[in-house]
Amino acid sequence: MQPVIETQELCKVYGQRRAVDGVELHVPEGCVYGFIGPNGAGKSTTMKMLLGLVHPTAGRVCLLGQPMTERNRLALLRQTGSLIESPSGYPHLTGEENLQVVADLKGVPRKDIDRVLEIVDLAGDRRRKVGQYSLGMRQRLGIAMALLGSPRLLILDEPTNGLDPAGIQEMRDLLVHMPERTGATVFVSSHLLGEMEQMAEQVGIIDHGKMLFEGPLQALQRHSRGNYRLRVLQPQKAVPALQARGVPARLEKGALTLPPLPDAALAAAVQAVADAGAGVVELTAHTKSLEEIFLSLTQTREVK
Amino acid sequence: MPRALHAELQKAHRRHDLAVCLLVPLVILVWVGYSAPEVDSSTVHPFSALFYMGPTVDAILMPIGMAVLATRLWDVEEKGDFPKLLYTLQSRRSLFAAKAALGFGEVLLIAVLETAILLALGWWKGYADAVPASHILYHFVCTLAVCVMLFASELLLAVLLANPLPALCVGVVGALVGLFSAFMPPIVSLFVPWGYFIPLSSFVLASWDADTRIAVYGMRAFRPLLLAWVVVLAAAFFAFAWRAVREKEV
Repeated sequence: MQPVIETQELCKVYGQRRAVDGVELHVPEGCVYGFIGPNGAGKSTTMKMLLGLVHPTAGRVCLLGQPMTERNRLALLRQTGSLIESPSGYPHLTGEENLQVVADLKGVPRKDIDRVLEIVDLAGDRRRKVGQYSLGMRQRLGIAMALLGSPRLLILDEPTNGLDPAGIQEMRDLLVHMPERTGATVFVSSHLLGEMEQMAEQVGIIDHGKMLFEGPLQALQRHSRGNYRLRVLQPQKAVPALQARGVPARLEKGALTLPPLPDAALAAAVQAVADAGAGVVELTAHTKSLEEIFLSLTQTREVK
Repeated sequence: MPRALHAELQKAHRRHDLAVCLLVPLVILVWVGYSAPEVDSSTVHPFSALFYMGPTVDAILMPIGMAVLATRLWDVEEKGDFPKLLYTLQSRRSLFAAKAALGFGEVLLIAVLETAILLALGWWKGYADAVPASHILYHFVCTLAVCVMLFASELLLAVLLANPLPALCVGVVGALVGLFSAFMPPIVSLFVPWGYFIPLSSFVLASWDADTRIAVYGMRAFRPLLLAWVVVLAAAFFAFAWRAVREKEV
């Protein structure tokens, strides 16, 4: 399937600092793609380059299957909705008037405004000035602007920033169901990893401008499978049996800690421990949270 | 472009731009109307006196008025945090062109009203001296050109600094400097663009007799070179403002 976003060796240099360094993104159609990284990792700069707001120092951007050029940029972006950093909104105009400005510029019929206001639950506040909106309402208005015209792709930069817990949950629900409700692909960034675990099917991890990982969320979790904890009655018999099979084990708090192993190797190791008469009591797999996975990936990079 | 201009008009809703456009000529009306000589006074050629007064008042009001209009035009984008969304919906060129067109329209309205007010005041007061149409047209063109030049310079500041305050301060300071330059040797006024209304004016105080207190106003030759310089400055400020909009990363 043709990716809706594809970048090749995307770079942005500010002075001596490489804000984005050779980023390669491949966002499949019809999914929620989580773009994860700590603050200052290069997420917003990358997203701005996808939208042509920032000129790349090097590299190429393909949107909706076409290389983006100055000539076709606006045509491609008319099929895209975006919310970058803080939401836009003219404070002296009402929510509805703001949407009218955007709808007219996008060439979208004004009747679409009712639909997007319903989606973001702002229909009741459409005639209030945006200057009187709370941050959460402005955020939802920003999403409504992005949704105008049923775009094929939504590019949202930290859309839950500044929302209260209920607002965050609402936004999550909205985005998770977006591909099935509207057919749009959602490319959403966040520094909150738990949030992405609940929303995204595909993830990309960026830090210091470099991509550390890209793929399905499950692959990321598999990729960083945790250690095993083997509790036995007689560890002194278990350790030589494991070492004989080339499995490094260390004794911690009365149990053996084994490194991540393929299923077959693990089964063989446990069998060997049992055959050695160590008395296998319990085997537990320690699953790393996305947080730990992320930390391990970023730390690995720092060590390099 | 029509779509972009329509968007600018939508944004102008409740921004009270029209009120600013009417307020500046209204102040001119009150100010010049209050100072206008009576027919039976010791002023010779009172209609010319009126057109002599106009540029002086313009030098005080217009820099501030233009700063207000230009900063409101751009600041609405900064306050709304809108450029990063707008640039995905329209080209920077169309945004700038629409803003420039709307701004020019507002400045044109002010210049038309200013000239109309001076004419209306003269007729209302019953001044009998004739002012040639060419001088009235020249006055209008000069007022428009200097206002457009000031507007473009303020727009440039507003875009570059993303903050209306410096541009407004420059407008206020410019008004004072422009006015003071009128009382300096004529060469000085050529280096003060905010006050260009005065050296460009074709109306002069020909003589003033302290004993009889008779003031004689008259006309002088047009200054096409200075007018051309103002047009060049205006074009340059617009070009720099466009460049700032085009190259500014959001």
